[in-house]
Amino acid sequence: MFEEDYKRRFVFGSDYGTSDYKYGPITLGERPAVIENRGYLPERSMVSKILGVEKDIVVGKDVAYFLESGADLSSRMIYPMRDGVVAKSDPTAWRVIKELTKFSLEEFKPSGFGFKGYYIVASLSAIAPRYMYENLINIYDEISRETGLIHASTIIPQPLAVAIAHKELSCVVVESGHGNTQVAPISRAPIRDAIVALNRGGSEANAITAEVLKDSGYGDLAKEESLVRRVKENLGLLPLNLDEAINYAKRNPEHVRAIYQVPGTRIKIDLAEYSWTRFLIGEYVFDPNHEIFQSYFKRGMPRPSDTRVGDITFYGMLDMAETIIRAVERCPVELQPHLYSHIILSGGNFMWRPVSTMKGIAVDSQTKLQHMLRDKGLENVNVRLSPEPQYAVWRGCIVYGYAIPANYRWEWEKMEGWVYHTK
Amino acid sequence: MHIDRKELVNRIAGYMASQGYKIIEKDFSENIVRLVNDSLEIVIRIVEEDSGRGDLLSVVIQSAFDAAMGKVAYVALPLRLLSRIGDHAFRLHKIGLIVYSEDKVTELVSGGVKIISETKANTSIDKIEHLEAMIDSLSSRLERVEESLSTISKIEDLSRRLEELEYIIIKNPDATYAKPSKGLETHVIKTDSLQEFKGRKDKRHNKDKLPSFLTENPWVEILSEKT
Ligand SMILES: Nc1ncnc2c1ncn2[C@@H]1O[C@H](COP(=O)(O)OP(=O)(O)OP(=O)(O)O)[C@@H](O)[C@H]1O
Ligand SMILES: [Mg+2]
Repeated sequence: MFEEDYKRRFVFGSDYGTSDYKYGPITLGERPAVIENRGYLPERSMVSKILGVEKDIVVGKDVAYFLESGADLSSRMIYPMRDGVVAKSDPTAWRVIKELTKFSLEEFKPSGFGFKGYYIVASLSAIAPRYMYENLINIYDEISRETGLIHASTIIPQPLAVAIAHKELSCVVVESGHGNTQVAPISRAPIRDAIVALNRGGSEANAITAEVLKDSGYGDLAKEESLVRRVKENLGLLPLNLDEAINYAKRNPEHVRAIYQVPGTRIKIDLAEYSWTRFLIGEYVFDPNHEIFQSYFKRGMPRPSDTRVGDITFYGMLDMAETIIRAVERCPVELQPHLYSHIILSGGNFMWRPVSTMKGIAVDSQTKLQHMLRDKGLENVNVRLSPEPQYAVWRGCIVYGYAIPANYRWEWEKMEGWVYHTK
Repeated sequence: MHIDRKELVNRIAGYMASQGYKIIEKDFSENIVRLVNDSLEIVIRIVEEDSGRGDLLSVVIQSAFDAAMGKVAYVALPLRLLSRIGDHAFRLHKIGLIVYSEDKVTELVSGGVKIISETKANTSIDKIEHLEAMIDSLSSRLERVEESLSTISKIEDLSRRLEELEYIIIKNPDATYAKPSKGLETHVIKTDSLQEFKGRKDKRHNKDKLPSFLTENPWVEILSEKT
């Protein structure tokens, strides 16, 4: 009982996302802390000048100090993940992951009696290869020895975390972050053979946003990834039906036109007569097959391609509804109706804002997907958008760590349980 | 009161003597009994029936110190408290536990010895950490005990008032309830104090409230059954 009490007080969740690392202890309540998943490798002399300490990797807020110093960004700024995966043979990327983890634990180091390290629950993409589990556990071992901040650790797949956070025992989780989209049917545990993945996430939406910016005369800004992301989040729209939305835009240009003022700068982005392209941004995430996208591919925007990671295929061009259907159809027929009526959308790539003055034209992800599935002849579908799409995985980590007994030990056959670290 | 306490110390000392231990001191002012058994010193610290949370905590801490100094430490508790805090922590940390009621004294957990010769720098730090954690966990359990005690006394208070009301009604079977009678006045005061009680409880609940995604989550039960 004693260890259970301890564990419940010191659960720490870590959601390693391609763009953002979401982390923090159970005491944070409803929402985790968020920092960008990146690290900066400064020149040695520069670190001591700016931070007053020797460090070979800088993460978190401190990164900003180096941006100001005008150093050579692209070669020194490391984004350790691509499509939710850290490459096996990339030691620098793994060092960034370690530094981020350490940084996040130190931020929440408890003061006072009785603390002997966190029970950390990490979450990785459902298609993360086994070496990622091994490397992460090794990193936790090192951090535990160096700082004593980790007592035990475990790793769970992101879709499971999402189902847990939404209190659904059997459902289909569609988790779409920056890197990719995972569709995972769950019935008390992920149905492993039924997972279908898409090679499209928020970064693909950024790619089309960059093209939209070039078209409307902001080609110089299109090179700055973080700016492109903000334009996407503020100007991107999700059409219920792309053709109808484009027609609407041509008939009501002033309605669809929007200007984005980049906070803290003099930059104003006005898509003007290209405002109708706002709809392309959201559509591309859900279905890149409209003929209109062909011209962008011809111009050199990379066409999302099918790739294989381990034994999972990432589809490039499959539309979102079809992806869900493929996943559900790999499950027992008896379960399928229940799954269709419990579809949960989570991840930042579903955070498209509906516009109240454009009802039925610019919609939210839930409405869009429900519509797409009905078009394919499915009657009893029920799609629910997570109330906090970016935080669901972290929440699930917290519940998982809270509930799994302390004496449930890690087994590689099951890929479950606690790994205890020696200090 | 003083007689009671003295009698309690005597009863517990008597019980231990009957188990073959030799009494070396009964300290009536501190509620301590010291005994020896094969050259080992045994210290029993007694928690009285009407002790508060602070007293209990302080006894446990002192016993932890006794144990750390190589003595066999015991805590003697009234049965009423045992049923609320359990004996697990005592077993875990090898602190002896004696339980008494009005007519019985029992040794529930026998005290252990910390083997000092084995204490290396490292393990003793470990043990202190262990003790700290234990004190931490005990004090949070005590908080819960105190909370449930106060709930019980509120309930007792309410049922007493209810009885009064019933009495008034039985005594005046013809009184119409719309009339503001003496009874109804009491009733009004009652709802007020209930309100206050509810308000306070909610506030406390907020302080260590679980996040919304954890409460009534069916996964918690399923996951906690993993073995
Ligand atoms: N309002 C918004 N509209 C559209 N996209 C958004 C919005 N807010 C955030 N996003 C996008 O969501 C993505 C980040 O979501 P999330 O944090 O779930 O991804 P991640 O966990 O970093 O990536 P992954 O899970 O794929 O590894 C980014 O691409 C971001 O631009
Ligand atoms: Mg993610």
